[in-house]
Amino acid sequence: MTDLSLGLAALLMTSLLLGGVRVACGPTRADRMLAAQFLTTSSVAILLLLAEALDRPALRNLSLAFVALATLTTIAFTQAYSEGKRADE
Amino acid sequence: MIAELSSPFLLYGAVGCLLIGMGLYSLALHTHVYRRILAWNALGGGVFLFLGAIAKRNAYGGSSDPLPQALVITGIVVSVSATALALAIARRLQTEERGNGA
Amino acid sequence: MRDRIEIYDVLLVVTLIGAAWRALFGKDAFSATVFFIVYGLLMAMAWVQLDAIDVALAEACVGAGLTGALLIGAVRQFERAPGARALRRTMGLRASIGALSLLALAGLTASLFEIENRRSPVPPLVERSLGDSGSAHPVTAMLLNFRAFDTWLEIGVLLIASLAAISIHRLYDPSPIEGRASTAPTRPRLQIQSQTQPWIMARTLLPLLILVGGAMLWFGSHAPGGAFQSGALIGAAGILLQIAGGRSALRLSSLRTRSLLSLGFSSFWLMAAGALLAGGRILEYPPASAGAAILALEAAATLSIALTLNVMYACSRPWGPEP
Repeated sequence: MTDLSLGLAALLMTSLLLGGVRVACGPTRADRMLAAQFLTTSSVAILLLLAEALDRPALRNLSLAFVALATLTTIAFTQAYSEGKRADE
Repeated sequence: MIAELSSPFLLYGAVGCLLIGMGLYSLALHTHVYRRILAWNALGGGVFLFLGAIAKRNAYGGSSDPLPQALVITGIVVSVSATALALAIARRLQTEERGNGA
Repeated sequence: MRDRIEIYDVLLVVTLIGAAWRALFGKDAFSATVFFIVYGLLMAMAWVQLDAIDVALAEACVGAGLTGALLIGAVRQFERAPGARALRRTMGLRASIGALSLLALAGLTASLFEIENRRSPVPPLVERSLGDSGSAHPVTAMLLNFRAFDTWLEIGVLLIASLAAISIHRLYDPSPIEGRASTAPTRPRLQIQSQTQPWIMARTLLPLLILVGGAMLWFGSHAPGGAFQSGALIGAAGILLQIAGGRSALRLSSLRTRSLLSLGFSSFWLMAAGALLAGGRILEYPPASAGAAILALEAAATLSIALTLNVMYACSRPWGPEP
């Protein structure tokens, strides 16, 4: 079970690496932001697997913080690039 | 045994060093203030990672040394406030420059 | 938790360095910012591998979350500025900068091997005195008891930084209403548009952030968590409200804001003075009430940190808060 979880964590880390390539490719800003959000989702999955495999319940709290704050960046992005458009022109 | 035990220290410590080096180079390379703020933050991350590797090295009874951890936690909060202050100053600077140019 | 390097660590480190590379040397300022957010995220994952979950929490809340929101909010005004892509062009200059950076890198890496086999005497000491500290969690005991003086001064740094940000913002707009009209559009005082996406998301997320933040404060007494993480989460709730509700959510000049900003610092001050008057040393709590003292200090610090982060966010946005 532990080996399986750790193996899956490594697999998800590979998907994170590939997601990073997607952030680099873009091409639009929204693409990049969305890819970054995908990385957060994968990280949460990795944390949950590690919490199980290493018997560290505190990692579940950590994943909660990840989820709660990932949205903040998205909201800041939507605001800066849509509604806030008038503000600096 | 010792070499095997300390390998996370070496790996993450070396990454910390590399980030510091990259951060320094980027800090001097860029001329725009925003990119310098980013570089400064990345450099700080490298310093924190270096300290974290030391915390791992000092692990005692299955948990990392709390002293570097406490240092890094306060450091992270200070660095976000410094970043926000730097951004506020940069915004001001840019408005001044724009005002003079117009 | 594990003392060997696994394939997972190698993948993590490679991704971390790649993200840092693009954040530092990417051409486009916006994608550099997104890579910086990814860098913060991966940094938090690295802290998990270093068995420092408290730091991972702080990094996730502050590094990836709040710094990300700050930078994404700010990059827009910088990315089109002339010079946003400018690098030092002279090859000679570049080479000498590179050589100096490599020198620093080599020196640091050499020091790594130098200190590899040293050990700190602190962890055994911490374990021995943890029972008297008032907290069952070593990192909280370190922050709020053994090295409380450091934390006090750190809160002082936050207070100074927020006052500095307010001053810069004030100088920027000497006459609040007329001054701003020229630099930014006049916005209604309370602009909560109930149909906008930020507001819908804020309504869903606010209770969650405050709940998780409060829980994080309580966790600190026995598990990873504490005032900084909690303050960051509650601060994030306030920032969300600022984004959704326009700039009216915060009034910088009100007495309430100012006293709340200094609450953390003055609580430490009172605790230190109380300990001195009671005949002890500075910030020395009686072991019987150390738990309560730590919780009280942490609660005060949480509120101050949350508000400080809000003030800082407000002052670095393209349009400022209510003066």
